[in-house]
Amino acid sequence: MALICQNCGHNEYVGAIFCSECGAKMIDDTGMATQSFEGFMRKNVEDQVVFDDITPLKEAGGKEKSLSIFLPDHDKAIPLSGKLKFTFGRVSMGQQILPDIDLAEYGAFENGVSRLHASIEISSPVIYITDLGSSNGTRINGVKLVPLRPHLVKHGDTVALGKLRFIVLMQS
Amino acid sequence: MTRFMDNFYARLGVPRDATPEEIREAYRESARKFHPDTRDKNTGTELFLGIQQAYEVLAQPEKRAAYSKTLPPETSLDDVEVEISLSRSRLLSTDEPQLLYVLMEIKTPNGVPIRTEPPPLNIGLVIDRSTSMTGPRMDVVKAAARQLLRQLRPEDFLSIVAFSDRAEIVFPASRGSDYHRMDAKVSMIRTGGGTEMYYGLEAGISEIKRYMSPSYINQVILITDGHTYGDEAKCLELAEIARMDGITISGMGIGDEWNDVFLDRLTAKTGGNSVYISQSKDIKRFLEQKFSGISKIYAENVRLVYDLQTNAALRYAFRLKPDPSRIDSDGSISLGNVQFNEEIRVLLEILINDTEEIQDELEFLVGKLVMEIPTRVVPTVRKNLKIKCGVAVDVAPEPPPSKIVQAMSKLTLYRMQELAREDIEKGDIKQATRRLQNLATNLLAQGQAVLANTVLQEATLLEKGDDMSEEGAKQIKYGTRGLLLPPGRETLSWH
Repeated sequence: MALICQNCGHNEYVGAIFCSECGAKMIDDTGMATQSFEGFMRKNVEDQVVFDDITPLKEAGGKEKSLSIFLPDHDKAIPLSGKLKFTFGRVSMGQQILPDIDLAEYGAFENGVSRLHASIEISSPVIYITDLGSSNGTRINGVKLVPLRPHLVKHGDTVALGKLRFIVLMQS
Repeated sequence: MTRFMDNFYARLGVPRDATPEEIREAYRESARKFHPDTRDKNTGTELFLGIQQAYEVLAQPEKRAAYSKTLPPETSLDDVEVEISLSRSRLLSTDEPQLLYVLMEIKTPNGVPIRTEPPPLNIGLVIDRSTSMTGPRMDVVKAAARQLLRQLRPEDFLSIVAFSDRAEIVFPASRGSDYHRMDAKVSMIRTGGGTEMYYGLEAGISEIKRYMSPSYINQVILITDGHTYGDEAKCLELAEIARMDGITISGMGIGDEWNDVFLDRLTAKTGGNSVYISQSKDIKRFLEQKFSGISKIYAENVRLVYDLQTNAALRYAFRLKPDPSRIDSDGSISLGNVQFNEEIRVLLEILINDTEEIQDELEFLVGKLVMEIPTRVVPTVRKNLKIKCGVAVDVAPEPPPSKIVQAMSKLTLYRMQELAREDIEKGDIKQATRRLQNLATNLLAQGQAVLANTVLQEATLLEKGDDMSEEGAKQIKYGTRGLLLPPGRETLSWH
């Protein structure tokens, strides 16, 4: 009756989610595939959001640069710190590699965000964004990125993962 | 104190519809806590008499009914929001043991305005001043303490205790009115001597008790860089008493030599946690983080008092948020504090035996959440809790909720290092080595190359017949624990 780990053969109780021996996932939970949008509405993501109170980015050189993304549709800022590279996506079941920033609660699925959609990399003094081969693509200020190629982003740029928009905020 | 003394129910901290048992229990608890012998003479006696008076009325049904009629109707407000998720909706009907995961989220209810002013703090800083703290460690601790002094508001209490093989009260619990004198006292702390934590903790706790109130945030912050000598059992007993009094102990371990297993147990007993500070310069940041967390507390000292069905047993309990920490349990678990901006998230692993005789549904846990909400007229809040799960002969496989899977994917890694260290204790080096290698593989798959590398280095040490390095063991423990923190809050700084 016991559950046997496919990876290492260790016996686990029924109901176990991960193997306590080798850390492999014990459950079969093939997740939902990212939905592709027919006739994708480019217009929605091209509108740039204008802010009055964006603190101007200080010129390069300042070491302690803080980076965050702001989701205008949710009025929510997510600070990115402690690492130099962050992956964005949505967590769903059956996933081996989880994104650093899970956008599931911001309607990621409905907006066509892939499970591993894009990454942001801080390479002081500049910041790159890379589309990780997502289903619905990544746009900076409405311009679609070539997948798997790093693109520069600036303070105040509007980035769209599928239809989910956020604004890149940097402060020195 | 006037808010607390609102009415007889408030004095005992029970709801209007409390059962006679609850009233008796609450009375015993408060009487012990507020007995004049244990407290500051003036406020203590007055408080205690008030509690006495309330109990005399509420303990007698007729007097209680008559008194209750004189009270204005109770404004009902949702105290906390509790959300329970189970790893599956149905258990298998079987005579074999099976696992069930319970994710419990305790939040500030919607509509509670975010307070701009936190409740008064009652903080005791307990500082290790043993010889090994000499130099930059003590300098930074002092600088951080002085900065905290400057941030105190007139209503906050702070006490500072320094200990080596004995304790000295640097300054007793007092309001931050005489800043310059306090500052001078802090700068006069000298290092020297061994580490006997018991004396420091005892002094720190009794300073807090002088002005303790459920309307305050009562916390001990312990800063140490060493092992305590021969008094671990006594310290744990003390933590147990602190827990019953509603005092949280948090620990900060500096450097590589302190006993993380002990400090974790000590702090977890009271709902606190321990953090690892590898470099002196991080002390200040951690203390600031700690204080900013404390001042966002909505409900403090949340504990789960529970009974499990005879066929169910709690195998493991872990707080995922706000401060990740394994939690001890013996019929009651200290869960820590609910912050305005961050809920408590606890994951329970429950082993359920023999379900063959059970029809339809198993109510495996019955209990209550007890906590203090300092801003409430009646700070002590109790909320009943029942958790049940369906039982069926034929159960179709269902994926667990993604938040449980996600939490478990990280917690499994923490658990692997914990098990590896248990293997080492037992002398099974081979098993420990294999576990660490498995852990490294998983860390790599999750993109944690630096941590994976540290794990592999330690596995190699074990393979060669050496011990794990103290530094490596701590980096692995606090590193895997840090994976549970939201991005940007990782506590370790790698060097």
